Amino acid sequence: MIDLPSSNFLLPDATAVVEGVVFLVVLFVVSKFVLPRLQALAIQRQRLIEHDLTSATAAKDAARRHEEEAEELIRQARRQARTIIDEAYERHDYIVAEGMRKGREEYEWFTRRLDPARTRPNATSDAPQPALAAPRSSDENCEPTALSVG
Amino acid sequence: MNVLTDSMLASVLTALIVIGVALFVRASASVRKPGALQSAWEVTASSARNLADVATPYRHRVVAVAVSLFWFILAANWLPLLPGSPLPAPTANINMTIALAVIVIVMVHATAFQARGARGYFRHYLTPLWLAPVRLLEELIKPVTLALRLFGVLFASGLVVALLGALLPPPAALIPHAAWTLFDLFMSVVQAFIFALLTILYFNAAVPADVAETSPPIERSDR
Repeated sequence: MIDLPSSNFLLPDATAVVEGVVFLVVLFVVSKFVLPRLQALAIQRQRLIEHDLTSATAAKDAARRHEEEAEELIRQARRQARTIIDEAYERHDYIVAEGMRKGREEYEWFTRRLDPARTRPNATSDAPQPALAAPRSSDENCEPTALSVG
Repeated sequence: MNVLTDSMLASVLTALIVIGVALFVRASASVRKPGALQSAWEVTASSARNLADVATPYRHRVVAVAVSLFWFILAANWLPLLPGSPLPAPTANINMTIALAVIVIVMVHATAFQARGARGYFRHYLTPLWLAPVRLLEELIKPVTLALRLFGVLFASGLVVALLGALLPPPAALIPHAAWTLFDLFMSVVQAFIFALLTILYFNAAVPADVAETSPPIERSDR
């Protein structure tokens, strides 16, 4: 495969001129058409990467801002939920207390109708308890518990 | 004058391959999705640009010469490895390597002359005067070593292949031949790289680099 000339193969001949011209053609094409395009693309890519980095930084800032907003919304929602729960408890206590008050009034009314003697002054505690007195004691037991909720 | 047609044909074919690949890279170049060939060319160009320590107006020239040399020499070294290729590696012929080395040295000195001016150019090579003969000798030796290194390696590689074919029967020569071909593939890349690298270094030595725009302030001494 090796091309050995008849003379000394270490001495160049006219082939060198032709091969030099061939390389110069390659150099011209690469220098004028290929490298400027690759250089332009490299610069364009560098700008693109810088732009993407800027966008990424902005997106990161926006994400952090949105996260803070979401946390603030969650805090507000928790405060509102606490208020609603507290109001519900107050309402519950009020309803329970009101129910007990009405129950007690009805009990007193029924007791007065069944035992008129209870309506006399100074006879409330010493008088023997009627048959319906049992619920009253249970009401009295319930009363502090119900009121203590509020 | 004697003209080696095989070597010339091989060099023309090499040039056509390199130009074809280069134009294909140019046509298919993409910013978002560079292909393997484009990436290889871009890496070569950016490496040459990073290594070229010359003034900015001459950097493109250095990069162009180095990139062209690298791909041209690589294609020339790999040409006989193409399946069914009857042509020898053009770099296994002294004419090709001498031509490349002479082109490199002429371009180096032309660029140095352009960058430094006539006075600066001669002052650069003649200072100090007593070293001028050594510098002259060095400049004469550079193209010879550049050409002979590449030629020697590729010529020896071709000789080894020829010897393997001549000394061993075809079945026995297969494994050594395959092993040598793999080594040859690697060696071809190394040789192309060395040629391009030395070219850049010659440019760096001859052409002045950019001067820094702002010098650091000189502090007043305590004395």
